[in-house]
Amino acid sequence: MKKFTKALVGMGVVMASATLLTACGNSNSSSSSNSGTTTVTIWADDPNFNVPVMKTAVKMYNAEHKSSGVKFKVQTEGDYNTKVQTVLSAGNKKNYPNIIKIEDYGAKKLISSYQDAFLTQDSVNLSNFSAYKKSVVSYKGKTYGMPFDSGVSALFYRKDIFKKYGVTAKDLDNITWDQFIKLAEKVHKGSGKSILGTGALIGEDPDMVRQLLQSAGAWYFDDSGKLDVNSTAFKESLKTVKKLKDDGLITGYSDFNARNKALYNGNNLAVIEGSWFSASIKADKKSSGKWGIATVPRLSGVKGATNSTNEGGSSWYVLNTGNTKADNAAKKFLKTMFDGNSSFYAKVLKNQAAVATYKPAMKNKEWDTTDTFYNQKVNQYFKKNMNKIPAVSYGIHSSEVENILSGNLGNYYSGKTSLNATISKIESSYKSQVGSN
Amino acid sequence: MNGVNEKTNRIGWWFIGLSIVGFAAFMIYPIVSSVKLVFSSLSGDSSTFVGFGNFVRLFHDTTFWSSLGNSFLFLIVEVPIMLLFAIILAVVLNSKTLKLRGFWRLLIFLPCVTSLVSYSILFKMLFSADGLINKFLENIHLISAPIPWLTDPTMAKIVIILALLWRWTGYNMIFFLAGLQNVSDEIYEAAEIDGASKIQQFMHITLPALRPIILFTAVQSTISTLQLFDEPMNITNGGPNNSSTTIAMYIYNVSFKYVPNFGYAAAMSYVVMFIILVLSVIQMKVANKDD
Amino acid sequence: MTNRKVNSVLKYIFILICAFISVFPFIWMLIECTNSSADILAGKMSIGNQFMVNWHNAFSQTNLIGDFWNSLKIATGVTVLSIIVASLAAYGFQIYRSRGKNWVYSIFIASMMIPFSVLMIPLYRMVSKLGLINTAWAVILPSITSVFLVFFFHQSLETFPIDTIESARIDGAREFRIFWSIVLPQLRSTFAAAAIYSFMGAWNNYMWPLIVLQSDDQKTLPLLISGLSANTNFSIDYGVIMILIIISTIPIFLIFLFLQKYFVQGMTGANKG
Repeated sequence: MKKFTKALVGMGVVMASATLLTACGNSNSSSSSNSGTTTVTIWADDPNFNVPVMKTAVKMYNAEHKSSGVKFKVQTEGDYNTKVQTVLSAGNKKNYPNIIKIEDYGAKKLISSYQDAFLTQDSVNLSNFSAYKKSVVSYKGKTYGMPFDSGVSALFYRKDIFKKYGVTAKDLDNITWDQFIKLAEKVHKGSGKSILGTGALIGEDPDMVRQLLQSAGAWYFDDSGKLDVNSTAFKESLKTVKKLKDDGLITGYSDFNARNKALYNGNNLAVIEGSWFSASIKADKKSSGKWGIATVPRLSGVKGATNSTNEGGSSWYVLNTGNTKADNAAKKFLKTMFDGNSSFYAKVLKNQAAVATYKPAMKNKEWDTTDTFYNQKVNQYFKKNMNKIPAVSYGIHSSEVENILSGNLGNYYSGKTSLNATISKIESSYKSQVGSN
Repeated sequence: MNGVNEKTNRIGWWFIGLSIVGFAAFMIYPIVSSVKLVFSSLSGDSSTFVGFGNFVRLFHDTTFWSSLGNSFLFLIVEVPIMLLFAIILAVVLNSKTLKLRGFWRLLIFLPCVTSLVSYSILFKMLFSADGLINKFLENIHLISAPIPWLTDPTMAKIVIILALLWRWTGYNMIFFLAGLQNVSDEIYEAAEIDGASKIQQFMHITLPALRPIILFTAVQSTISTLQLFDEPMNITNGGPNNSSTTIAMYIYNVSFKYVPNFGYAAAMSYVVMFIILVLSVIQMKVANKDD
Repeated sequence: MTNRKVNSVLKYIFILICAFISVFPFIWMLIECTNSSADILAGKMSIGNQFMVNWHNAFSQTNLIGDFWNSLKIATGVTVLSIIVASLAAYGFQIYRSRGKNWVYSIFIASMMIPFSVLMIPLYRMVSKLGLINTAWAVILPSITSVFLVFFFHQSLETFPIDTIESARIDGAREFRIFWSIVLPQLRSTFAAAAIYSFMGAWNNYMWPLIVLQSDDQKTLPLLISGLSANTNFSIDYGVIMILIIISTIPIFLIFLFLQKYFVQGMTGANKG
C-alpha cells in the first residue's frame, strides 16, 4: 500500500503543476485590476457596424478624457449570442466583458436569467430616446440598457419596375396590406417576378411575422409575459403572409445570401427589412437609382395598426464584473457618448449609416440630406417613423416561440392546417416546451 | 500472473496515474457536477430543486421527441449504408490484383482530412438551390427544375446523410482494411478450390473475420451519430421546419439559445447517454451471439 | 477467364467512381479559389483569375496567420501530451496485473459513451474558475486524457511479446526504461496512427473552442471559417472562404500523406483480436 500513497503524492505533484499552468493562464488574461490603468472591454458582433461605431466612440471619448487612466478594448465575437450566454452562464465575473451589445429581442431573456450579472444604468435619460426603446431596456422598473440603434422598417422596392407597371411612390405610402396586395399583383403579373422575399423559408422566417405584429403594437406575449397568439393582430399577421404566399407575391429563400442575390439580379423586387438593410441594398452599386423606400403596409381590421414597425436594433448593457472602477468607467463612458454627444451620432450616421434612437441628435443636418443612391431623403424617413414604432414588450421566450412557429407555420401556409388548429398547436407546444404558459 | 511479482505490478499504477488525474478532473468531476443539475431547474443564476421535474417535462416536450427522432433516423439510415460501403471498399482495396492500391486508398481517405465545419460549408454550397449539383443535374437533363435540397424537409435530411457518407465512409474503411490484414490469403485460396463464389467467400469468410471491427465501428458510429451537431448546424441549421434538428442541437439550443436551463439540458443529455448505453449493449450482445 | 476480366473491370469502375466522389469537392475547391465570390455563387466551373485577390483578402481581412498559429499550438500540444498520457496508461493497464485495474479500465471505456453535452457546462464552469478562458490551455487540458487513445494503445499492446519485457527485467532493466527503449520503438506505427488521429481531432475541433476561446486573437481556423460563413444579412466572400478551407486542410493532408503507411499499419495493430 505504501507504493500507492507514493502514487498519490505523484498525482499531487501533477496537480500542483497544473495549478502552476493555471497561474500562467491567469497572468495572460486581460484582467488588470491591480495595475494603474483600468481596462474596459467592449463586446460587439458586427465588424462593419457596431464595432467601428464603438471604436469611434472610444476615440472621441479618449480625446476628451486623456488622463482618465481607462483603456478601452473593443472585441468582435463570432456566434455572438451564444458566446454572451456562455460567459454569463459560467458565472465568473472576472471573465465578463464590461459592456456588451444585446439585440433588443433577446435582452429580457438575459437580464431575467442573469439578474446579478447586469448593472442598472440609472443615469440614462430615457426620454431622450425613441419611445419604443423604453420597454426594451427596462426590467422591473429599472433601466438596464443604453438604447442604441433602431431597426425601423421600410419597404425597399425596385421603383423602376414598379413604375413600369403603374405603381408609384405615392401609391405605396401609408396603405393597408389589402391595398398593397392589389398593387403588388399588378407588378407581379406584369413582370413575372416575386415581389417580397425573406431570408428563410416562409414558414421558418420570424422576421416577417415580427414586423407585422409590432406594427400593430402586438407581440407573441401580452404585457404580463403570457403567450398571446390568439390575438387579432397575430391571426391577421398570419393571414396576410398566407395571402401573399397564395398569390405568389412572396418567396422564401434558403438563406439571406440567396435572398439578397435574388434582389440583386432582379428576380425579387422588394423586401421589408430594418433600416440597417439599406447597406446591403447599396452594396449592389450598379443598381443605384433603381431602388426606393416606402412605409410598411399596415394590417387591416386590427386596432392600433400602424405603418411603422421594427426589425432588429440593439442596446448596450454594463455587466457587473466586480471591479467597481471598471464598472463605473463603463457606465460613465456610455452616458457621456451615447446619452449626450450629438456630434458622435452625426459621425456614425455618416460613416456607418447608424440609425440611432437618440432624439437630440436628430437635429443633425445629416438626417435630412438626400441619399443619392435612392434619390430620396432616406434618413429623414427613418427618423420620422422611428418615433412612431409602437412599443411592445418582447418577453423572455421569443426564441422558443419562434422555434415552435417554424415547426407549425409551414403547414398553415401550405393549407394543411387551419388557422385555429395552428394556433392551438402552437399553444400546446409552447406549454410543453417552456413548462408553463 | 505472467510471473511478475506484486511489487512490479504496483509500478503499473505509476503508468496509469497521469491518465487517472486527467480523467478525474475532466470527466468524473464534470459528471458529478452535472448530476446535481439534472434534478434542478437552473435558469440562469437561480437554481431550484425540482426532483424528477425535468424528466416529466421532457416526456411532454414534442420538440425533444422530434429531434430525438431525427437523430435516430440519421443513425438507422446512414450508419448501415456507411459501414456496408466501407467494408466493400476495404475488400476491393485489399485485393492483390488491384493496381495502385496506395493511391486509391489515399483518395478514398481524403475526405477525412477536412474539418467538419469546412466540409459542411462546402456541402451547403454544392447543394444550394442554384448550386453546382442542381446545375449538373439540369445540364444532363435528369431534372427540369432545381431540387430544393436544403429547403425541403426530406431532401434536407438526405443532404445531411450524403454529407455524412462522404466524410465518414473512408474513415471506417481504414479500420476494415486494417482488419483484413489479419485474414490470411490461404483461407480464400482454399475456398476458391472448393468452388465458393466471391459472394460466398465474402459472406462466410470476410464478414465473420471482420465481426469485432464491425462491432467497434458500429458502436463508435452510434455514439457519434447520436451526438451529431456540426453538420446539421452548418448545413441546414436544423431546418426546414426543424426537420433536421438533432438532439444535440436541441440540447445546445436549450443551453445557449433559449432561456438557458442547464438542468433541463443536462436531463436530456442523460437520456441520450442512457440510449447510447442500451444500444451499445444490444450491439455487443448481437455481435457475440454466435460465440 | 472472361468472368474474371469482367470482375476486374467492374472493380476498377467502382473504385474510380468512389474515388471521384471523394476527390471532387477538393477539385471544386481548388477551382473556386481562383474565382470571385459572385462567380462561385453562379456555379462557374472553370479556373478564373481571382486567386491573388482572394489570397490577399484572406490575409488582409482576417487574422489568418494568428489563427493558424493558434490552431497549430493547440493541435501540437494536444497530440504530444495525449499520446504520452495514453501510451503510458495503456501500457500500465495491459502489462501489469493488480487489483482494481481492470475496474478502472472498464470505467475508462464506458466513459466513451458519455455525450459531450453532459460535460460541457460543468467543464466550462471549471475552466472558467481556473481562469483559463481565452487561453490555449482551456482547449488542451480537457483533451489530454483521451480514452479512445488509451483503448487504441491497449489494443495494439495486446499482441506485444511479453517475453521481451520479461527478459529485459531479468537483465535488470527498470520499468520505465523498458517502456522507453524496448516497447516504444516497436510501436512506432501505432504512435504514428495515434498522432494522426489526435492531431486531426484537435485541429478540426469546433464546439469546445467555440465556447472557451472568446477573443479574436485566440481563435482557431474552424472558428474563423464558421464565423465568416454564418447566415447573416451581410454578404459572404466565398473566394476568401475557399482559401481559408484550403489552408486549413493542407496540414492534415500533408501529415496523412507522409504517415499514411504507418497509419494503416498502426490501425492493424489496434484491431487485432
